[in-house]
Amino acid sequence: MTLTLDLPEELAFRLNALLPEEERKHFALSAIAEALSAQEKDAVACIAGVEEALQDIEAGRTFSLEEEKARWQHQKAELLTKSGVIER
Amino acid sequence: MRHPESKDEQPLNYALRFTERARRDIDAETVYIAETSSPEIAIVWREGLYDTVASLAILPRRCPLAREQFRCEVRQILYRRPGSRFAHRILFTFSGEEAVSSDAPTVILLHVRHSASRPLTKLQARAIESQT
Repeated sequence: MTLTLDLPEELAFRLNALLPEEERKHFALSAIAEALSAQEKDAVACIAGVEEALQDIEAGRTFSLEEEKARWQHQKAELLTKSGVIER
Repeated sequence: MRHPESKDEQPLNYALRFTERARRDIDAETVYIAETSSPEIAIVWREGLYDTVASLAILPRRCPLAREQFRCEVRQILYRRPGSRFAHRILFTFSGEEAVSSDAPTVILLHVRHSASRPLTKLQARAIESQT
């Protein structure tokens, strides 16, 4: 497969400045492989997070926005106290 | 299934709920921001996130489907604290929309995560702000 890319001018300038022409193909392949790998890992982690949340729903572990905001008010007070914004 | 957002009807007001997992994600991010930036910034981030979540009560299907494959409908809204170059994905699903359901139509928050490891461009940041 051949891939042709239009690079923004600034990126093309940096590429020309930093990388000899004979190394560019190897560099591009490594960069694409690394980016795909990162994307796959992110997708796996995202799916696992959502799956866990779906199990929460099935088990009835959900909370209303009002409950969540009330919980936050307690946490916020603690956060401000710990940080010294509010004196103990 | 009902069609709660069809043209002829008033848009439904969805109830909003958080899963335990979403709560943990939000807590972890709050702590991270408080430690790496400041507690004040963490507070602004968190309260802005609740405002974004609250916007899902009306027409939540304006938000796109998440790109991953899930066993149910999962959509996402991007949230960015003003001034931040990073965004978070808020992933959510629906319940109570079936005609036989006695529950109110509800948006359920599933998961909150960083949208990308790369900082946003100004154009992307503006696009996120225009969603809410």
